[in-house]
Amino acid sequence: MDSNRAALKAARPLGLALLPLAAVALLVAAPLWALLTEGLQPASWDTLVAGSTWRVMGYTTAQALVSTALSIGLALPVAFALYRLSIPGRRIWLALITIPFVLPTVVVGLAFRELLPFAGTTWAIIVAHVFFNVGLAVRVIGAVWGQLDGRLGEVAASLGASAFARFRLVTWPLLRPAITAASVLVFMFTFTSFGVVLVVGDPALPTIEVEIYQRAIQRLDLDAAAALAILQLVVVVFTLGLASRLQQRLSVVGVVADVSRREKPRGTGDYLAVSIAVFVAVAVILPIAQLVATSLQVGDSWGLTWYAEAFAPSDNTTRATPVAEALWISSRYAVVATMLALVLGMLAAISVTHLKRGQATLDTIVTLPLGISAVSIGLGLLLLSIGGPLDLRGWWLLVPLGQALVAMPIVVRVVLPVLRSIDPRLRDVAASLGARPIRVWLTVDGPLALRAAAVAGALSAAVSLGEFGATAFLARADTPTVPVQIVRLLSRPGEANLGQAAVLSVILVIVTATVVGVAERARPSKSTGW
Amino acid sequence: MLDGAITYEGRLLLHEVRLDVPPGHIVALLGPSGSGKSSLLRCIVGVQPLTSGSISWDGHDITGVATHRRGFGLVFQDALLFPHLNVAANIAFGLRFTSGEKINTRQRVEELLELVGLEGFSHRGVDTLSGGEAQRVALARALAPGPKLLCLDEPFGALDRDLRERLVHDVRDLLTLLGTPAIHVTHDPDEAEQLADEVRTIRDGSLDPRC
Repeated sequence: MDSNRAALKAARPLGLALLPLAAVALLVAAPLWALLTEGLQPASWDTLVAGSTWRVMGYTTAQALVSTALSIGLALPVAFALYRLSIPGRRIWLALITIPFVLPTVVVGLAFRELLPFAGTTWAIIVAHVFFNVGLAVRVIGAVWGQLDGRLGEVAASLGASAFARFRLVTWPLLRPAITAASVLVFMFTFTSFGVVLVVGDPALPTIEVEIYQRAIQRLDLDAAAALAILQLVVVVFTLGLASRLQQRLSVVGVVADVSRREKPRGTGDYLAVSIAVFVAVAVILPIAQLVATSLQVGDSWGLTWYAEAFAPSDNTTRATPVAEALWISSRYAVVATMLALVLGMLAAISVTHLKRGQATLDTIVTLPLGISAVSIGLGLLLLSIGGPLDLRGWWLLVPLGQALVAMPIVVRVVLPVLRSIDPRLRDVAASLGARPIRVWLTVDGPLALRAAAVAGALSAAVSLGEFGATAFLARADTPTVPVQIVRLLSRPGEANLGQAAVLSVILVIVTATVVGVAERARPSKSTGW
Repeated sequence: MLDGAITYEGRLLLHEVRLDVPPGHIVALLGPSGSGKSSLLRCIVGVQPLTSGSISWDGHDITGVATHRRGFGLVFQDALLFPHLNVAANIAFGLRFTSGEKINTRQRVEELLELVGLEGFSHRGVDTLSGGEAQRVALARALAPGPKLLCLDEPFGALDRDLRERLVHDVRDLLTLLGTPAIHVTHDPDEAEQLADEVRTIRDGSLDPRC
């Protein structure tokens, strides 16, 4: 038995872990490498020191900071109402608030373009960003707030602290790590936001991502685009580094609550927080309602004209309509991207759980694409396809590959906690009964991993269907995916094009919501994180 | 000082409670768990509303007065020290809200640490304390602003027996020394007997008449 176990231990890291890990690392590193070699050239210096570059950086940072501050500011009362108070329909409000986070960016962009009277301004970008991120911030902050022991506040009150003093001196310091974490996430998402800004923003005021896209695709200046992508990456890495240092310094957690109870709201403050939460939850529905309205609005009346035209061209040609074409292309890409993301992500997750050392490092490498923006992944892959010995530009597989790289961190985040939750002694028992390593894995980890994989696969499919940042760089003009087609339709004048874009958006929202909803239900309740 | 009824999560726990705490007295409330003794204490401190009736102090009705203006100290079974503050900052917490004459915070903290037998603990992190030490710090923290009344909710429940007996004696001596009246909630008759001047028992939703 001992020799069996020893053999198992020896076999684990070498046989199972290293090869797939190397493959995954290569796939993540290759686009990054392409970016670095292309962007770090003497000529790039001119791009980096140009005044326009710093205007773009300043604008991107400023809108991200304002978006973050507003998202967190709004998230605090909502998190308080949903995680500290006992209010009717709590789960429904919570679910509503989480919806925006899974919506495709261009769809949100379209909705706000039609909804906001001030569309095409910086404020429209900020409103859309707050809409996107407030739910995320509520979840991150609420997870900690919900666990704070309410009696700490009672003790503080008995010592003479007013409600405001209790928040300032007790709640705030204890929530600060969570607020920092949420702020960093929201800042990263709003700093690297692309689809929303492209659709809803001011065309004359590009953010860094839009600037990268315009330089690469419209002006075909790939060197400058790569240089900007590196600059953006530096900001992201710097933010992450700062965040992890802050986290270490602030970390006081561990002593928080084992008793926490949600209290009935009492007092003006409580009711104000509840009203804000309900307002936010209801406001989440508005853009979706706007999408449906736009898809049904024909001239001055309502009708299904755009839906009919989406699938049966009015000119009676046999050519597929833009809507049908995009749906067909996107579904094919989604199948391939999901398979790729699953294979890569599962292999990475399995390897990480079986490694004795360096788990944290690998964890970081595998989730790195979360920090690299989708636009950078797209640009990196584009550079790779041009710079290699073979000219692979326009190769169809690049699109699902880019989408898979965007989705892979999510696969890892879903699968890893499940695999880690398996008691290692179960594996030892199986091994002691004479099972060979592969058999051990199939009987012990297999069934659980399969379920997690189903969930991860569904989420990957949703990501692939809505992905715009990487796809925009890789999709050929004659094979537009749904988000690419939406943006293209929006750039054309006329009511019919807007109607078609709205129809595509509604379909995309329904498909995404269904897929994510099914995944959430199938998900083992124990798993944490995403 | 208290005369009324108390409901907890929609259930009437105590109907017709009358409780008086004479100056400098320690009153123990004895009862099994779920009998409403903790709720009674929470109503007195003001962190839970009274279902009906009134609470008064020194002849003044304080039913509608917020917790932080009542000046009643509170110690729970688990010390519940503020995890982001060290020992000295925990004890000094209530001092920043005391009005009137300016007090030397550091000196007051040292005095209190000496009173509870923890000299030199000022700069310790609260996560380095043992259960008994943490409870002593919680006591010092509650006493720091000079409360009119100290409310102790099973304060020794989490400690093992030797430690508990020593702390019970220390608390008794301390409260007598300071002349601070206290309400002590417990389910342990021995502990109640050792600490309190007067023991009241909760039975079937009401407080036994004074024995």
